[in-house]
Amino acid sequence: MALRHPRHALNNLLGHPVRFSVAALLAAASQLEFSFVRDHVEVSDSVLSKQVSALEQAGYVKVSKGFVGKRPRTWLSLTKDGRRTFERHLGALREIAQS
Amino acid sequence: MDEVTPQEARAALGDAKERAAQVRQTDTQFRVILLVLAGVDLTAALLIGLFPEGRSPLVGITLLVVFVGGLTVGVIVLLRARAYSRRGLVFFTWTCAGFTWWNAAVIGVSVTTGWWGPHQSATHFSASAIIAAIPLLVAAWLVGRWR
Repeated sequence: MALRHPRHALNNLLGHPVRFSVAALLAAASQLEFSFVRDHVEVSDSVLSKQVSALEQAGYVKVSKGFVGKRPRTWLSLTKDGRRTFERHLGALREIAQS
Repeated sequence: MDEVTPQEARAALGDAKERAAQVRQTDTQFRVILLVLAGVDLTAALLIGLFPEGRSPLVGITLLVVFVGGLTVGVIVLLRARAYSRRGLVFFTWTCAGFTWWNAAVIGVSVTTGWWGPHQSATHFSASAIIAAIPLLVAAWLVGRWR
């Protein structure tokens, strides 16, 4: 039987509010610095690290490390799969919101 | 996944919209760089118009300082950036490409029509440089209007 209710298109991982906010920020960006995401999602480094790891393991987020001078920088970006999944999740939310 | 109510879905959509707006606010950094580039171009136009070649030894040094200073400011702004929005980055890249082509076209027309030449006034160069800066100024203005 085909599952028609939009909730079936929701992604479990993105159901978490912090992960959803991180994905929403990254969806509008080419790449964001870790501290930018932390400041805007308003979570601690450790909480963000944990949630980003979960998204990275799922293949939704790419983490790149580099340096500006001597200062280490961590950059986050959505992968193609992550972008597709987030768009599908948003589409399901829109359908639910209209119901 | 737990049941999501329409109210929760609307709240999540609102959150997504707000997050996207937060990222787009960082596009002002591209505006700064575009204005710096335009400033360098216009300063060069002004200096060469006011002090044609050979009349002041300081003009060359001042031009060098303006170019290096502009480049330094641009690099610093880019290095300090913590976010690059997709829209801003695409727009900035296309603006730089457009400026390069437009500049080449202005130079080409200025040379082939004789507008630039050994016996022409230095103000001709200034006028061409001002025209060349138009794409940068228009792009900076457009970025300033973005919401």
